[in-house]
Amino acid sequence: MRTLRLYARDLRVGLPSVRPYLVAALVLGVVHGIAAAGNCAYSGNDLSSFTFADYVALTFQFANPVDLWLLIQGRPLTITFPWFFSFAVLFAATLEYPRADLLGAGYRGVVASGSRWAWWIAKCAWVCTVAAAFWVLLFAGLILTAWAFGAQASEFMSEFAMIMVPASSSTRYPGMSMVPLMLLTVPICASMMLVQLAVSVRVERMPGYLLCMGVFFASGMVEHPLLLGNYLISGRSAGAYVEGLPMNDGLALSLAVAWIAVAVGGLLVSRMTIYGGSRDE
Amino acid sequence: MTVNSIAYAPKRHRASHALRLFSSELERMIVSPWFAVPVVVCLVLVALSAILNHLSYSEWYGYAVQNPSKGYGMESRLMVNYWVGTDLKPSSVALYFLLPLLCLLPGAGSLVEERSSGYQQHALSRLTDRCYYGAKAFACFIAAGLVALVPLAASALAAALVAPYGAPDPISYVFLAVPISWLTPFRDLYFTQPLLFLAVWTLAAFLFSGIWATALLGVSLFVRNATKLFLWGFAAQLFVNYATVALSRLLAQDASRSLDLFTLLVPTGYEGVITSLEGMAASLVVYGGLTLLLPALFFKRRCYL
Repeated sequence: MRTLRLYARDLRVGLPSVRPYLVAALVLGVVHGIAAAGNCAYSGNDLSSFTFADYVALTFQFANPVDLWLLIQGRPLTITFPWFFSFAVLFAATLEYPRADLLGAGYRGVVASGSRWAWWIAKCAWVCTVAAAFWVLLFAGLILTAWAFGAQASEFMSEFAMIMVPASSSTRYPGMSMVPLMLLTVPICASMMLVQLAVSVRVERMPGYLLCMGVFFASGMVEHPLLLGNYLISGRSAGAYVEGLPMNDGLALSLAVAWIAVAVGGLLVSRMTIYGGSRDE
Repeated sequence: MTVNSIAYAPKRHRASHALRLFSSELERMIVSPWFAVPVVVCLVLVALSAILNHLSYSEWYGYAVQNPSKGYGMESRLMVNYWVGTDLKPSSVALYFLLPLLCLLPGAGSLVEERSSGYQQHALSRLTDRCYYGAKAFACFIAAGLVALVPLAASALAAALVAPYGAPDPISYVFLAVPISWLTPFRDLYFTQPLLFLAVWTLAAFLFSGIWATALLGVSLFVRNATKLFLWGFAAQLFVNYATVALSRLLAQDASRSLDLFTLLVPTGYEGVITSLEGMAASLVVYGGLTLLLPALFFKRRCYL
């Protein structure tokens, strides 16, 4: 009950700090939709031959993993920055409030509830809620834009988009679903945001943010099942390509990371020395 | 009321006050590690490019000496191809990629720092708003422009050390893959007056770096942390690239009109996108509008209330 009350307080008090980011999610969804439509138009095909899943796949596309041999040969390094935008905004959304709350007014909440674990669990639940709300809004903006451009309401990729998405996998079967990738965005981002929460509360905000963005940057550069960002790249998704990374593995890994972040973060918070609005290690 | 206030000084004294204020602001921006570090980083990247260019030119020169009949296109391996904006070396690409961030460091965050330190309150009690902001904005423009100008001018000197001066042969340039597209602005100068081509693109980099930093100085009225201003400014450039290329593709099925600095500063473009004169003009309007409108509308509200 204490946790629920603290969670309700977080939803109420923390909302103003994330409101600009939720608006940004909707705007990003629309911009991603326009960019995907631009790519579709640039490919020379009719816009009505593309599906909603194509828009999602083009939004989550990333260049092929870095090849050291090609780099040595002088080929430039390709980094797909638009893929990072959504994650950069989402991770920034939950960076300020939890730490400011613990070192400010939230300190009284911790004392009143009588449990640091309750405060910590409520913050974790708040972070997961923000992640879910962000992706719902982003996908709403994306799909509305796709609909406005006349895309077909289908969860399956078309053969046209299959050619456009960079993928290291050679086997491509049109008609595979993008829903698993969409569903994985919430658990994977929430798990990384919980890691960021633990680091930002115990150490500082920027190291936590850089750690998470670093993991996603490494994911883009290297295809490896332990790098969580790989599961959110359409060209490496088993939902789209037969040889892609299995979605179940991504879900299991994100749950494991989330569990460790909650446990370790909770232990750290319960052992912190907090003096009324400031912290003394 | 202070005795030395510029606002109440005779008109003939105002210009000299403003000039002294500008030179003071410029000195504070230039004689500082925030100017020295980005310039040194840029010069290191220029030096790396020059070394790679020298190795490349020596290799081709060796082949040409051994087989004079083949030539190896030495008639087009000229100074203009070994400048950072045209040589396509990894360090040159890194230089142009970092320039929109590095040019912000000397002056774009000064308003934020002066607001938080209390310096601004003292300054505004002695100066008019226009004088204070105008001097700062102009100094910021010059300092940011110099961050671009110094390494690009140094690169032109380094290129002159690597290869001889001359106009590339329009017939052979195709076979040598000279990275000048049909869409590249001022491309005629490349084949007729190469030195003028380098000068125009160097001055374009000076202009756009300066105006971008001054625009961010206007945006800094709404920001409390200079580091966040720099990082969000850099991210904004990437986003502008993404959004304008997307719109160009959608509306005109053409990807040559990006408004970001990564594309505007370099004749070879960024990520396969090349700018155009229309894109340059639109960028000047957008960034110039931010530079003028934001302080005109919000300076009093953000700095006095």
